[in-house]
Amino acid sequence: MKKIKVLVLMLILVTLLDGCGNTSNEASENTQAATTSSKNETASEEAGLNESEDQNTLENAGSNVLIAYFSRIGNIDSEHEIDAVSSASVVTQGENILGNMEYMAELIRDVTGGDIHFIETSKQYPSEYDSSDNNELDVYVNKENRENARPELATHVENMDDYDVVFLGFPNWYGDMPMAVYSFLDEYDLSGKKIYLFNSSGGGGPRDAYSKTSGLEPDAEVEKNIFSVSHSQVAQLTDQDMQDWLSEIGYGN
Amino acid sequence: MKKKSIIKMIVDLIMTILLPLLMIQALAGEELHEWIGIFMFLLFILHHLLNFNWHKNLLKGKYSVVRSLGTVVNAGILLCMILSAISGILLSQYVFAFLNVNQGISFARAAHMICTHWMFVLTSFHLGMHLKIMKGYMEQARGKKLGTVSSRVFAILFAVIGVYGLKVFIDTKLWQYMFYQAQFMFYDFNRMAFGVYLDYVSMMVLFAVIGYFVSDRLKKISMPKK
Ligand code: HEM
Ligand SMILES: Cc1cc2nc3c(=O)[nH]c(=O)nc-3n(C[C@H](O)[C@H](O)[C@H](O)COP(=O)(O)O)c2cc1C
Repeated sequence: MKKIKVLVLMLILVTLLDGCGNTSNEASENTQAATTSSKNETASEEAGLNESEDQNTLENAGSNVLIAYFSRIGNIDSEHEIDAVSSASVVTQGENILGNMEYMAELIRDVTGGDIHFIETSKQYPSEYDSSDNNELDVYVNKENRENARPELATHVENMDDYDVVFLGFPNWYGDMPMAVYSFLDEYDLSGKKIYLFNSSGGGGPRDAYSKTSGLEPDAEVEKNIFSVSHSQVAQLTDQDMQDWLSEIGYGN
Repeated sequence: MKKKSIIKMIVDLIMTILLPLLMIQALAGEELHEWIGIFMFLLFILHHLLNFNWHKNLLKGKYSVVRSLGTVVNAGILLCMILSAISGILLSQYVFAFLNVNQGISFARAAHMICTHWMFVLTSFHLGMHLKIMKGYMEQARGKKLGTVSSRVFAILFAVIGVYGLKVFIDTKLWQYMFYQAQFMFYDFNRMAFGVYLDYVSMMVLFAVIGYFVSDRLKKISMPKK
């Protein structure tokens, strides 16, 4: 009898504790709505629309915002077809298959009008990535991580000096940024620039990308609040979510 | 106090302190994790040698309900520990990186996550089943028995910490890792590692309290006369 009383008491305590605790362990906390004043946003959105037609053309000067991202899609060989249903790593837009990070980069472009840069490696990654054990991509990436490799990049930002703001997007690849992102950070000196990180993952979140990035770019100003969602939520994201994040971190102020 | 029981006590104590530290792998530091993991495995072997009577008596005597439960829990811990160590060595990025194992890596990753989390829960439960031994350690350290009042104080303390542990368990959705409903573990790098460590300690207390209550109940069932 006494033990039942104790149990009931414990349950009550749990409910009490649950109410006051900080339960935000999900990586989705950034998608919370925040009220925005739409003063400079409309302006930047217009700018975004103008430039959004020809992506990847970094020559079209004008913007001081760079949106660089890495994604599996676009970096793999074409041996195996991408399975849009079983792979949580893609967003389908009509005929098009976008990588999760690509989709997020485009949302940021919509809102900021920045130039998109796709971080592409010279050597492509194996396309075999399914739920089976030992798929080639797992094996390959594990090796790359263990060797702390710096894969050579095929794309380069010629006019890095023109940018004051760099958005850097990356998926979580085995608890770390993909090694190609380190290649990117090694290639450019981002001193004096403002760096914003955005990420998607299979639930692992951005991990220690903040401290890794600030360690590699000590003279850049890296924003600690990373926009991070789980890959199952990427397709539901809208411009508004990006806008909310940007106003939360005081972008453009 | 006999020399052997002092060694036993120290080994048990160190293992108890290290287990939550291993559970916060990435926050504690990846390389440190591998060294501590190996050390833990060695302590585990030592723990078995020091309690070798358990092995000797496995096939002897009657199996009451509590003893059966204890044996199943212990066997589970043994299995999880061996699999955790093997999978950890295969995954190793530092200490055993020279082995350069890449085949079977996805399987090892899943196995490491599932086995370590089951081990964490089962070991905490095991601690609770042997709470009397822990109490004995404390009494030996103090040089005198715990009175009723201090026993009560400890009971209340454990209950409160256990309740907090339940909250942490729900928040972190730990069962997702045990049943592989989540493929990857989430660590909040914005939090202080020590705070997360204490969260795991509180979950250990939760399962220890449950282990204590369950074995206490079952003991009464096995001995209906008194
Ligand atoms: C024996 C007790 C051990 C426990 C309780 C333990 C616990 C854990 C936990 C909870 C994780 C996080 C899982 C994840 O993020 O997916 C982890 C990851 C890891 N552990 Fe252990 N571990 C142990 C032993 C070892 C050993 C002996 C090694 C290697 C020498 C090791 C190497 C690793 C590695 C490399 C990871 C990262 C795996 C990944 O990238 O997904 N662990 N461990
Ligand atoms: C090789 C590889 C490793 C991955 N490792 C992790 C991981 O450790 N933790 C995690 O949460 N998600 C992991 N994921 C899932 C991706 O982070 C997630 O699906 C992301 O949204 C993919 O974005 P993308 O389509 O732009 O490549 C991994 C995916 C791949 C392909």
